[in-house]
Amino acid sequence: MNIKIKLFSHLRYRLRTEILVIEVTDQITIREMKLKIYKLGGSNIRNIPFRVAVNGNFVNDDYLIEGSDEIALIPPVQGG
Amino acid sequence: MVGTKIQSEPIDIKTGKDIIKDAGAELIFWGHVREIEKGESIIGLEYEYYDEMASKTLHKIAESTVKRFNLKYLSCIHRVGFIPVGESSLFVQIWSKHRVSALRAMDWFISEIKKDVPIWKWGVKIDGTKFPSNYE
Repeated sequence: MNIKIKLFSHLRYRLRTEILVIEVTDQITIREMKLKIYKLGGSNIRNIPFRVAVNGNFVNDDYLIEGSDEIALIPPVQGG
Repeated sequence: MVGTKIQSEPIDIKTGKDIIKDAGAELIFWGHVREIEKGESIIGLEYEYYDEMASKTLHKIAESTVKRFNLKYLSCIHRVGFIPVGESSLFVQIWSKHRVSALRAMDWFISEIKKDVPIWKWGVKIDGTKFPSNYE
């Protein structure tokens, strides 16, 4: 399955895309997804902290991703 | 009571609430766009946001602020999209029985917004180029 990941702010700027697509053969956790993202992004994103939201809620690294999940990487926010 | 909104239109002060008779304090906060961002001169800020999550999180924080500080009412409007220098990005109005809870609630509420609501700023230079703002 393909996992589509929404990017914002510094992550979007550094990776020059709004959506990142990762192809996986089995279900993976957020922790495994992060490793793939770091591998794809390399040093461009290694120093950017982010949290992960699934379907609009923050999740931890153990969360097992479903095919229908909406995933977003949330770098430090700057509202106000 | 809580009212929250994220909008791209300029914030109109007439959206504020009328008098609440059992509230002794009313506190209003306006956030404005400054002319310097990351040491660079800008013409405005572009506020990027993660639509559904931003609205949901803003409302949740407003509700928890009202509960935590026992407020009568909290209203918040956050503007997104391009906002020129000098215009307002944030409006918050709090009504409470006494001033101390209103003052504390305002600081807490805005701090929580800056921690969890998925909104980001991009500086926009006069030539139209954009750069992401620093995070704290």
